[in-house]
Parts: sequence; structure tokens; C-alpha cells
Amino acid sequence: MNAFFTPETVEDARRFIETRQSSQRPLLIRGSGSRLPSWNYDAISTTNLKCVRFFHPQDMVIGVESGLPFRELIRILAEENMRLPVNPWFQNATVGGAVAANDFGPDRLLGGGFRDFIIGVEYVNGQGKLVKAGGRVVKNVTGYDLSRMVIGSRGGLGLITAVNFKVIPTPTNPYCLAICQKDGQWMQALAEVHRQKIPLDYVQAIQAEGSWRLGLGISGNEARRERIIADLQAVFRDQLRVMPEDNLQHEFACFSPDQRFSGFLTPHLRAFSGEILHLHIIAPGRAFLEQDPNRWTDGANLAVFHPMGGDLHLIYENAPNPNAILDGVAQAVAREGGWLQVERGPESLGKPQIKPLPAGYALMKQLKRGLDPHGIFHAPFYDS
Amino acid sequence: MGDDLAFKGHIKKALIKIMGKTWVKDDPITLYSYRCDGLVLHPALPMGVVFPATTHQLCAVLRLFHEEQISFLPRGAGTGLSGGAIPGQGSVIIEMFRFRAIEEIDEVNRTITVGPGVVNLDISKASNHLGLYFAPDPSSQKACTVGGNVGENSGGPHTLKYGVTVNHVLGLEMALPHGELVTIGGKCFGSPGPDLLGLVIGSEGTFGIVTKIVCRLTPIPEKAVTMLGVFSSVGDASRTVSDIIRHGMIPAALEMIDQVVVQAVEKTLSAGFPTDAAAVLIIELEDLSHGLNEEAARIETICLENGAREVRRAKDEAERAVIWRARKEALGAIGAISPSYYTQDGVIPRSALPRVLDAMQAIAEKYDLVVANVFHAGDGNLHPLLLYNSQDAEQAERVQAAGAEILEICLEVGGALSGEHGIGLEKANLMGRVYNEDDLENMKQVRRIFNPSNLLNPGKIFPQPGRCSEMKIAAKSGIVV
Repeated sequence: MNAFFTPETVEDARRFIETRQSSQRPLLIRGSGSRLPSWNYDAISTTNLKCVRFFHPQDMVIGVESGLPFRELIRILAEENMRLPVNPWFQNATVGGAVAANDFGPDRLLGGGFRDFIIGVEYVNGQGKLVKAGGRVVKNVTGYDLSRMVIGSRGGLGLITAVNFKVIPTPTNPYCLAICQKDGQWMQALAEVHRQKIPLDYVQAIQAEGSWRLGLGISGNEARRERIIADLQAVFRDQLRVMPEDNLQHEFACFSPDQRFSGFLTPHLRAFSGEILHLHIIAPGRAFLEQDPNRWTDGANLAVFHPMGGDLHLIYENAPNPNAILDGVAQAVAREGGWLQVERGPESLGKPQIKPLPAGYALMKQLKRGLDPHGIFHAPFYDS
Repeated sequence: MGDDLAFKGHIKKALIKIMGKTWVKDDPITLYSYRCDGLVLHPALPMGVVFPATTHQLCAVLRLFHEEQISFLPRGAGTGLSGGAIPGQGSVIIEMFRFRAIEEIDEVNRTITVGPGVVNLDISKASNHLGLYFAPDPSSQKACTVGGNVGENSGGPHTLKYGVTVNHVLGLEMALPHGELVTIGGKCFGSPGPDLLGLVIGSEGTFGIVTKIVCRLTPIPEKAVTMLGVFSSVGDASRTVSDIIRHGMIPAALEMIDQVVVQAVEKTLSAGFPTDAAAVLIIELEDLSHGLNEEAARIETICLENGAREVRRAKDEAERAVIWRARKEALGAIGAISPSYYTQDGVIPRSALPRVLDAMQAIAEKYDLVVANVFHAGDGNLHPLLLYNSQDAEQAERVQAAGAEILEICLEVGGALSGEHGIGLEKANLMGRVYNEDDLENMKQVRRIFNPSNLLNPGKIFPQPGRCSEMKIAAKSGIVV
């Protein structure tokens, strides 16, 4: 029987981890479980740690506990016309979970990722010590940047208990320009948009059931919008539909801020009931912008593409030979200087798969050993 | 003077074998030249200075120092203001200026790969023909190197909109203190696992010595509108800063200059700034040309509503250049009114600006000093300049005490010790005011992973026992600064 502990306070969490020092049993850190529907370890959950510690709209900063659902964070910010322009993957993601996984999506190139918005962190390390780093101001080089260190740490370096962010005003008059296409010719047009440096707020392309939907975000005052729309229509030869973001046509509802900032993958994944293989690919923009997108998506049931932010999600349902798919995609990714990570897959795939191992992986393992010397936190990422 | 500190014979011989005689120096003039960086209050002589040109040479040097247990530290242009490149007594300085190759520019990925010795501004010059530039723009960008920018996570006036160095670097190659070469990141916007790049950038040369940097390039804005808001009160200027942000507008830059600095600037540069103004705000908007004038008009309205007596708009690129020259050379202009100055780098919530500026003035008066201000108001990143004479040890002590009190005020309002200059030697003993023992120990654990023997740049960032008295002695050490 595995233990499952849901601390009510940060101090409860710290004490629990401190008492695990003598235990040889690994402990899994769990937010909402959006990535871990089942597990076979003792676990600690952050779901009761969801206080807003401060929110100063005039200074554009907010600090929240890690178990706060990301969508709740977005709602609180929206009340003051603020936004954290980072895109979590799953709808029930917690703030801590999204940070620990370094989620990003359509707004990555122009909005940023967690690296661009995190300003402070609090976590319990493997020795049961509560550690704080960073602070509450938008610019800060006081000591080592441990706030950024925990981004993408996958629960291996400590239990994140609180995170501080700088935030930005919501865009003025946001509009979506969208297109639906059978083939992948939109990528050539997008490469031209990139070459012309037309400023976009976000880019996302989704391939499902044999067709592509592409959404481009713009904003600003009327003169700015009209200029961008004219430039984009010239590139796309007047094929783009132009819609205010609060009034999207049904087929393009996936590009709404509600979906982009509240778990953009979840609604798409609901279409699948079989066994899922979810591959996440990060690559330089050149790998995507200069190639037919179908080259990457062949055989996938769903592809969610951010060519200008440099990542791609491929979803396969009931894949007959997941190992062969994995090897094929991994080879292509390696050629382009990127990385592939298996986010979810059948047990037959074995240990966690990252191909190739990221630059600096040996240092990451040393960090894990240094900050969690007793190996309390179970994090397969560090086991390759 | 350098006799006690010069390289021992067998070490010098080994270093010369690695780099050649020209690039191994321990003569008194060289040692004196490298006694401090931009922070002149705490000079110390190095054992010697070496100038590797390749990663092979650098790693060989590091292996030698590791074997001989000699401490060392990297140095770029020496423009740092927190003493990060001041040697601990007997450390060897590894000067990185020979790593100045500009390698691949990738237009599609918008990256440029450079050596750490490349001057910040030269990165933009190398990429301007593609309509791209390197956004971090510290005031010293004509001289400071990108390796130093990485070490300090440097900012600049335009970081309000574009972010600091960490937001514009995608990959690094770095030599660890024992001579192993590692790569972190690459050309992608991220990589799986903990954000090592975010951790290393800003580690003040205590984790490793960076040998190659993949910088992210940003499209040059189609148009810039630069305004000068003229205020009769510092309070009105401060409130304008908050009000602009509160209206949901993020200018590319939002800088404040007070009367003392304006008058110094006018003495040296004649930029046309009104010398009777209590403060001026430099406000710059950058974007597409379409719609930008409307945004500028909104800003002008906000300024006037907050008591600006005048808002000027640069008519052309020449006028804009004059405004920015005045801003970026403001620190140099202080030389016209004071033999030395000591600058601080505290950060505060921008809404606390009026209160903190008043408190800083009171501190200056308490210590019988003049404080001048030129700073990144939009970020709440203060740069109070305490004017003094460095030849006067008593005045130097007053300046340090006043500086520490100013930082205390920053912390009281929820701010930070440093926004872009780093902790270095200067503020190491104040770290305990920000972090508790567990926090600091965790940072030290991280340092041990990269720098287990602490041979690389020892004595920086963390409080040192007895350091306060050492610093007072250094100020009176007879090493003329």
C-alpha cells in the first residue's frame, strides 16, 4: 500500500519530507496528476497549497503557492487585465506542475516561457530544508538564480511550494487570423512571415483528421492591426479569416485564450480512448520552418505544432509499433539538433526516453545528487 | 610591488608552454592594471594575468591551476560594478578578450554564435544587416563583453520590454574549473531538464568560464519614438512611471535622470536637457510605424496629467541619438562634477519609487553626501550615484555606509540588492539580509556541483567572515584607485 500525503501547509510538507530522510522509499511529487494518472510510489500532493501570497497589479507581480490550478492563476490575473503568457499543456495543471515540466506552447516565441517570467521560488529540498530564492521584483540578480533552476526539474530537485512571477498586461484588441488547409503549404507562408518579421502574438497549427488549422494572433490599436492584417493577407493571398479573439468561429475555438492558457492539449486529447503515445519534440525553428510539416506528422493521429516557438506534440493512438515510431522520429530530431521526449507511452517503451540526452545532462544528474543526496524524490528523468 | 605575488617559476614555465611568453604576465604594471574592475573601492593585486586564446589553452590552464590548487577568475572588459572581477589576494586573472570570434549567424533561427570576449555592441553590428540585433544594452555596451554580460545577467535601459541577458541567450559552451568543457542549451528555445542555462547566467563567474555563447537575435523595430518628459518634481516623474505601466503600456525604455545628473550631462555633452528640471523621463516606444504615434500620444497625455511641464519628442534619428548618448554617458559625465562616484543597484517595486527616492535623499544628507540618480525607472532598478573623493578614506567609508543604508531601504520595501550589477565582492556581506542560512547553504551546494574546490572566483557572492574589516583596510591599503 502506497502512502499519499496531501499537506495543508508548506510547513507540513517540509516536515513530511524531513521525516523521509531515513526512509529508503522513493517519494513522488504530484500536483493534480495531469501527467501521472497512476503511480506505484508513495506520493506527496500540492493540491492543498493554493494560496495567492501577493498580487500587485501596479508592479505587475504575483506570488502563488504551487498547488494553485494554472487556470485559476490566469483567472485572477485577468480580473486586473494581466496575463502570464505561458501555455500549460493540461487543463487541470497546477502552477508547480507546469513549472516543473517547463510547459510552453503557442505564445513561446513572442510571449516567452517560464524562464522569462519567473522571479522567485520556494521549495523543499531533499534534506527537508525550505529554500527561497529570487524575490518579488521584476529584475533581480541577488545570488544564484535557483528560480530558473527548478524550471523543468521534473520533481527531482525539490518540492516546489511557491512561485513568483512577473506578468504583463493583456493585449489590446486581440484578433485571430486563421486558415484551414488539407495540405501543409501554410508552412511556406509562415516561413515568409518569419522572414518579413511580421510581429505576431502567437502561432499554433493543429493537424487532426487529415487537415490543418493554423491560428495567428495579433493585437494593438486599429492602425497597427490593419497594417499587420494587410501584411499577412499579402503573404497568405487573402486566405486568412480575421476574427476578434472573443468571437471565434467554432472550428477555430482552439485558438481562444481560454484554451491557450488553460491546457491547450487537453481538449484535443479527449478524442482518444485508446493507448496514447505522446512525443514532444523541441527543435530549432529552422527544422520546422524550412520543411513540409507533414514530414514530421506522418502516421500521427494528432499534431500540435508551434513552428516559431520550436516545438511539436505528436499523438499516436494504439500505435502498433511504438518503438519503431520513436526511433524514426528520434533520428529525424537528432539530425536537426533538437530533442525528443516521450511524455506518455505504453509500458513496453521501458525507462523514460529522452533522445538524445540533453546538453549538460551529466550536470543535471549531479544537481539531483547534490540537492537530493538521499534520493528522496522519485524522478525518472534523471535515470537515463 | 608584485614580487610577492608573481608566479612561481615552475608555474610560469608551464603557463608559457601553454600560451607563449607574451600571454603570461606578472609584472608590476600588469598586476596594478588588474587590481580592480569598475568597482574601485576594494582593489587587490592578482598573482598574475594570463590570456588564453583557445578552449584548448584555457582547459590546459585550468587543469594546471587545479593540480596546483591556485585560485583564479575570469575577466572580460572589467566594466563590472560589483567587484566580481577583483582578484582575491593571490588569485590569477584569466583575461578572456582573445575569445572574440564572431562565428555563425543563423538568420532563420535568429541566433549568432560568439566568443565571450566579443563586445556587446559588436554583436548587433554584426547582425544589423539582417535586420536583427542583440537586445541587452548595458550602458557600457561599447566596451563590455558578452561573456561579462552572461556572468552578471546584465540588463540595460531596454530590458523593460525585452528582458535581460538570460532572455537572449540560448546556449553556452563552458569550461568547468577542473578543465572539462561542457555544453548547455543549443539553438532551441529550451531543452529537457532543469534550466541550467538560467542557472549559469548570472552566476558571476563562479560556476565555470564561458567559452562560446549562442545569442538570440531580435528583429530591429521598424520605428522608435523617443520622448523626453520634463518634470518639476521627482515625485511627479515617479508617479508617471507607475501610471504608464498601469495603463497597460510597456515602453521599450523608461528611464529617469535627476537634476544633478542633467546638469552634469549638460556640462559635458550639451544634450539640450533642461537644467532647471527636477527630473526628466526618457520614454521610448518601439514597434511597427503604424499605430505608434497614437501610443506616443497616450504616453504624452499620461505625462501631462501627472504634472509634466513639457513632453518633447525626438524629431529624427539624430535627436534620438543625442538623448541616448546623454543617458548612456551620464555616468561618465559625473566626472565633471565629482572626482569619484559609487553607484548602487538596488531594485524596488516601481510603485515605491517616490518613497524610496525621498529616503535616499535623506540618507545622503545624513552622511553629508550628494546623491545623483540616473536609473531604469520602469524596472524599479535604482542607480543612485554617491559622489565622493576616492583619495579620502573617511569619505569612502561614509559612502559605503550610505550605500548599505540605501540597500536596506530597498529591502524594506520588498526589493532586492541588485538588479543587474551582481553581488560580487561589494554586496556579499549583505546576502544574509536577504536569505537565511538554509537558502545560502542551498546556493553553496549548487556552487559545489560546478566548482567543488572553490578555486574559481572565491570570496564572491557569499558573506565572508571578517570581510567588513578587510574592506576598510583595503580602502586604506595604499593601492591608489
